[in-house]
Amino acid sequence: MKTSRNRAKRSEPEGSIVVKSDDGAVSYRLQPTRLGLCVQRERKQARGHARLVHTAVFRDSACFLRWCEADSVRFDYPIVFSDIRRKGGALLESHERAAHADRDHEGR
Amino acid sequence: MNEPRTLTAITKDGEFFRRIADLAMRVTSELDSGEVSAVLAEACDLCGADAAAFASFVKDDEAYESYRFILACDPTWCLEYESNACYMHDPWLEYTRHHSEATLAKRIPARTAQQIEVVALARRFGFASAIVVPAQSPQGLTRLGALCLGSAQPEYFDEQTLAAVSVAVTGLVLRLHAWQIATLRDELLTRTRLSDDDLALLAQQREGRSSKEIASMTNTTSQGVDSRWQRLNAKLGVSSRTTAAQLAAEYGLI
Repeated sequence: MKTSRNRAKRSEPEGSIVVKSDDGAVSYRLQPTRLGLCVQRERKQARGHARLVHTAVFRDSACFLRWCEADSVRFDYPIVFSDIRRKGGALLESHERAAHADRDHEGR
Repeated sequence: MNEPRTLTAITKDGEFFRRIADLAMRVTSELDSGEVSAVLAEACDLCGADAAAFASFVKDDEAYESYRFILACDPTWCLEYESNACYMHDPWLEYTRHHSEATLAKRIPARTAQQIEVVALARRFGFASAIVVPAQSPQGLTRLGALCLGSAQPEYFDEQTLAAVSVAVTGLVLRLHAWQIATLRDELLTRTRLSDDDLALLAQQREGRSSKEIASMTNTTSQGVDSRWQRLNAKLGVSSRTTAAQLAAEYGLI
């Protein structure tokens, strides 16, 4: 079973979470922003000796969870997958709560 | 309910060019990737597009090539792109390697079965019609960048609007490319902690100087220079000084 460990680096932006697989083949950086959850995913691929990095901002939990479910990491690194899903989901929920509170405040 | 504006109508509005230029000005090295993704999403909206991706490529070392994507589209596309190893057969990336002018994606031939699959995948994720705008790189470097704007409408990006859209977004593409290189450079400097002396040594190698020449310029011995190279190669995780200097150039260090 491939395992994960969290590494919150000192140089990472405030509030960001880094989750990596033990073999370093896959890593995620989760960064809460005012727009939602910014996720940077990096994966090393043996095919073509490639390192693929993609960055996207998720505005709601549903989109984020759908993206997680489509990730092959779900099968290759189940513990990393579970970590990402849980921590990303929690960050997005708090973002959504804050956005609701802001809207309520503006509505008054 | 208002009909969506056509791209022709959008590009005939002078405000369109000003607003895209304002977006380009916002892209500075201080932005993080989330903020850049937000800028990209705004550019996508201004063009009336459904999807946008800024792709960049750099050859890291002997072992790895990096493909980076900042997305303003369904990110599941990138997962499928990776699973199918599309980066090995992407005709739009291949176009960017050899051309500097913007073009319509439909003008880029997909010759092999794998290339056709890459294009079909893009179409499924909002790039049924698309424009590809490359960013130039200095000669001798592999790094490249390209903005791809897409629409789910098959003829949204067409011959009539190609020139206007490419003029509008070229500045943004250059700024995104510069941002990407600056980000990579900072990450590499943080990771490797290269000193000014290390950078000077890399620059001398890039200029083709031998250990003997460097030794005489720095009042040291050839053996001393070779020892510095051993340490420097270890810091960068490469096996030769040629690769080290190429990596430093690709990442904008020298």
